[in-house]
Amino acid sequence: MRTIKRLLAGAALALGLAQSAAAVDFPTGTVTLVVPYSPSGNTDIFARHLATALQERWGHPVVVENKPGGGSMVGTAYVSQSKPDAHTILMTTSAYATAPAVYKDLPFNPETDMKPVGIFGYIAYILIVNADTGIKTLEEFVEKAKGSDMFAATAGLGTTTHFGMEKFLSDAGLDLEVVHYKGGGDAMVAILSKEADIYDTSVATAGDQIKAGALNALAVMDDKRVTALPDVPTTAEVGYPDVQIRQWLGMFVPSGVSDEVVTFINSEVNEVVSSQAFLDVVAPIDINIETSSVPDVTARLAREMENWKKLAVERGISK
Amino acid sequence: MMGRVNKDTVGGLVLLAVGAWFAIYAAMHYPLGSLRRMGPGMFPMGMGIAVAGLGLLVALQSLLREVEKADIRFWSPLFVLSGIAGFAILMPLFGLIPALLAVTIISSLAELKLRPVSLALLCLGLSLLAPFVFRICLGLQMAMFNWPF
Amino acid sequence: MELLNNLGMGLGVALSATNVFYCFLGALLGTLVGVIPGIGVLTAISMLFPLTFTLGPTTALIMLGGIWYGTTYGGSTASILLNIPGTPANAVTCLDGYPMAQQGRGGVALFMTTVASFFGASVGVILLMLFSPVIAGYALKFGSAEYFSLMLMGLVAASTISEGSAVKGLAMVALGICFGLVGMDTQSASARFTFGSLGLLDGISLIALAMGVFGVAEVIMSIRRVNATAIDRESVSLRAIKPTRDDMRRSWFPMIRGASMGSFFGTLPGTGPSIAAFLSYAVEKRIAKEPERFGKGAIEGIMAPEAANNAADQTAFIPTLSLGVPGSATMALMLGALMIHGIAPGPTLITSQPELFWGLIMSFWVGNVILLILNIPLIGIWVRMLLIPYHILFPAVLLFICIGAYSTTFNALTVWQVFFFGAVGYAMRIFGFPGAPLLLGFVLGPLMEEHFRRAMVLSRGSFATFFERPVSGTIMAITGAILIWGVWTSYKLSKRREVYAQDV
Repeated sequence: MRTIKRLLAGAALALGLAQSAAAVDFPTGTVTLVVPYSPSGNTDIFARHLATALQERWGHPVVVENKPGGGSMVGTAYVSQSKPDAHTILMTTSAYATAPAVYKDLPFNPETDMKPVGIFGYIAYILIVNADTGIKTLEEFVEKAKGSDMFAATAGLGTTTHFGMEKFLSDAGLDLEVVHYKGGGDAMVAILSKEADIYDTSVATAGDQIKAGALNALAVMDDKRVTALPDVPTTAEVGYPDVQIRQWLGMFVPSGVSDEVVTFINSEVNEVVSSQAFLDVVAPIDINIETSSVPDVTARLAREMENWKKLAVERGISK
Repeated sequence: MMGRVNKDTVGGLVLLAVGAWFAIYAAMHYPLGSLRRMGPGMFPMGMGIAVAGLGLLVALQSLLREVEKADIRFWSPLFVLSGIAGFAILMPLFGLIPALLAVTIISSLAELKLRPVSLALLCLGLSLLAPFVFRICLGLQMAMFNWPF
Repeated sequence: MELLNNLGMGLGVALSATNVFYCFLGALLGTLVGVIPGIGVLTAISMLFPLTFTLGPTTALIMLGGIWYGTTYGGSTASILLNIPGTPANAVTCLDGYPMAQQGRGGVALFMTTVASFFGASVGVILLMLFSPVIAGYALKFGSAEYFSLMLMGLVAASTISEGSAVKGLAMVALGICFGLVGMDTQSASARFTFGSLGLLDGISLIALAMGVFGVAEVIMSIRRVNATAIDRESVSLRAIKPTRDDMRRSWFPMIRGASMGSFFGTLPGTGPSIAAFLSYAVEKRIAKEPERFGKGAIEGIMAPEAANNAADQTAFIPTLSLGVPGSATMALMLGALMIHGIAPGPTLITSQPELFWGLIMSFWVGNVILLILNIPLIGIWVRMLLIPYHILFPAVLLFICIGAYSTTFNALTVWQVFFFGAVGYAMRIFGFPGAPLLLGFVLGPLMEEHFRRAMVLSRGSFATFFERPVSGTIMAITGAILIWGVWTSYKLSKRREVYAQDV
């Protein structure tokens, strides 16, 4: 909760700016939030709660449409080709920023075809190991891993977990063999069965196993600790300040949408997600809220894309 | 013409061609990698070779024994597949009812006997049944009619 | 007895009016989804998922669960009566179910598969009830090498699944694997054989492949051949569902073996009811004294797979609930229903949410009893479907297949896949290539590749890993034994034939 409050304070400024924007004629009909993942994932749940709140606020229907496929590429391409009237909005994750670093022929140009409306929430990642190893801190792990034949698990090449892991390995100077699993579930099984030695995952998926004592959480890959695991230090605290990865949840529209509308939606959603009612519904699924202005998000996105591309080349991930 | 050709010979050769194409395409377009870290091309190439090899085996076996003639029909597959194609084309453009009529009417022609009354009743029945089952019972979101232009 | 207390509490939860209602609704919808060829369980559950926002987590899961296992119950109906599987997991039931229906024993087949389904599901629920944590721990013993060995054993065991030449069967397995490899490769993020199509990134649709190869091809073959008037009216009366004493005698062991295999495969994340059904059929055919009866209406050939797929449906909840690891996309949806209510699935679920856990499990009993009661009277109705003239039936079947395929993605590409596989399936019929091994290869192929590649990374390039690891090594030894046994029996068979030939 404390982290969220701090975030709120920071967002107040941005909000003030956004609100001064002239009232725009939006929406004029049904707004569709396109989720490029199947129902039931974090993004989907977040989008559904958001849709309910926005519908109430705007007096126009706001519906969620799932367009899963190709690790979010199908839904993203769909929105990039939709009518640029902001009535079809993409609700996606940081995969948007990592995709250009791994996929050869993206069906859209992430820099020119779409523009960000804002990033409104994120899921923090933690580094976990099997509790049987007895490793309790990241320092211990790095020491044991140096020159050993350990394996690092990911939920698939090019996923957020993969980039987080590569960043950690690169900064810690470790030379572990990276093993790709098909999705987070399989990677989790690999850690539980000790087939692989370290994995980075969201708090929600590992939380119960940590509570049960089957897994040890070594560090939160963020600059803030997480409420669910208050004793777990951040990567910055243990000496890896750059090992940060957030699976963020953001909205995008085709680049033909006018800046006024984008700014308007940004301020509206910022307000909705910072309400107490909204916090109450997303807190149980370990989604943290964040708010920011359009220019900030645009700059951040460009920076992230650049960084991931660089990392992908450095670690030999891409192409 | 087909009647004189052993159907296993033809089937085996078709598989040989398909498998060979699959293997060559995989080898040309995707990295093979090493045994330790296999690339995306290795397994498909192996499987393509397996299909081709087994196809060849089927073709060779067929030379050794008598196989019955192939029974090939022209109209049934033509109309059934055209009906499915009709559905695939009309559904995204015009909605469920036109697509439903397309698949029902076109595929019915495969009977090679036109029964206008029963076909009309069938179309009507399905137009009522399909929305009930899929829209109401299962809650699928699909447009009944659509005008894309 | 703590267990009894838990069961009592669970039963209390499951028998509340709301939960019984939603359980019934789920089971009914599931049966409907199962009977209609083309509509898949994943589609149905995805559509109803938003409902879980308003229902409580327990009620939501009870309903979604009802759809999940109800589908497999209903799925055998179309397999038996029309030779078109209701769901991919029931494809193998066609092989002997349809011949039974042609012999006027459709009612018996439907009745017996309902019994097998109930039996399989019961075994699954008992395991789920008593041994969840133990089994979940056991499932962790399966690493990539073990998975690969297991899949290989499956393919070897299944090479004789269909009638006719084993070489043709193997060729179809290999072709099925090729089709399974289409799409995005998770280990390299390269799109294989998609030819720039976005819709193919997630691979070929299982529903489209099964419905094309089995459904559309069957319709093409049957037009102007199947004649409703030829069916003996006597055989569709409700009395005709009574199995003979011989049926009963033959059914017991296949049912038990099927339920055990199903329970096993259900607990392994990534495998599931389809694989369980195929392999249990293969086992029955292998160990049968007269394997030549299979494919011609052997009751063992429907009992084993139907017990297996229903058992697998139930035990699939073991890794989902006790490890928090979903074994399939459908199970991921179930987990989602928990997550939106802030319940983190994992090993502490049983203790932290006892009402949910035991309530859900007891609802499986309620649901299975509902399905049993629901399905037996329905048999009378389904069997009458055979009296519908084929010229009315087949356009309706094609329509349902089209809608079902379309609804999996809401993209016409999936319907085009049905078109493609309809053509492929018809060509396979012409050339006499069996469909079941193709489907099995399609399901197993991507798993085999993934686990093989990963096992090689983990062993740093050494093939020995498949033989050195105890569990994997054991499976490999069994695979070897099956191979040798297969060669031996075929040798004996040819010997017997020689003797027979000399006698004549």
